Amino acid sequence: MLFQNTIDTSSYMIAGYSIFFGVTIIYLFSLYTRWRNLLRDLETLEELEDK
Amino acid sequence: MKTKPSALKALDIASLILLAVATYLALVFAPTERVMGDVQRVFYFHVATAWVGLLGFVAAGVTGIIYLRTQDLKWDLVEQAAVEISLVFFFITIILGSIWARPIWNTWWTWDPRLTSASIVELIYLAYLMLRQGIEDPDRRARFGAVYTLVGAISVPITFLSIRLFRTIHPVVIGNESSAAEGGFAMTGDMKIAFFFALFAFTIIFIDLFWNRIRLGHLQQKVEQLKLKVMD
Repeated sequence: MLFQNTIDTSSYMIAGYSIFFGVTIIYLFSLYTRWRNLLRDLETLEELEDK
Repeated sequence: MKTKPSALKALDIASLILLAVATYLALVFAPTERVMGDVQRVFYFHVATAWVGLLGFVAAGVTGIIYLRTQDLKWDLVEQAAVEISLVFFFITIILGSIWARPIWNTWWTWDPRLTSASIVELIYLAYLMLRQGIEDPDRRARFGAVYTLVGAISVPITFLSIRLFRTIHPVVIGNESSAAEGGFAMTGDMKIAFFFALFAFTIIFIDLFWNRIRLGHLQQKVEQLKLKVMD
């Protein structure tokens, strides 16, 4: 009877999940940064409009 | 607009909790696959991100139709949000697939029908975002976007069905797979729980990000309008 051993592929799993969380965090940060910059622009434009 | 609606705040929190639970189920709860070992755990997020990625591309096509019928620019904004989020998720899908393939297929990449069609989908929508930037007139840009996403949406069923229609080495976990498939496995009960929970969790996460991205688009539109007003 043949037995197939489980191969150690944990490093690939760690790499996969690291990339998933890394890309997700980068995207969330980009959303936050764009939002913050737009709010700043909006405030400046509102001030200019009032003048 | 500046303050986040409480429903969206609740959805943000729910998404974080669901992501944590999905991660626990994929990494701890689900049993280790007998042959492939731990790398098989990548499968749960690989399929879930592919699902929401393709869902967003279809949603973009639908909003494209709505824009063409209504000529309302808010649908252009929704369409752009759907494409952007789907691009991020689908990029993750491709990378996770490549990482899984290295120990199982002994290569990072192969020009298999599924891998090729998935790459084409990603490039089609990446081009959408780039081409949009070259059009200044908002109406023309929206009309271009609507037609583009409508045509682009054809690539979605092609990608989904590629592993069922063509001879491919990409495994099919649900349904009949090609005889050439390598790396397929039968899911146990616990694996199915982790799998379906990941699909559910990512659907909620997608809705949450979609809502947040639409709000960003609204703010962007407001700033652009005010900029034009101040310049006049």
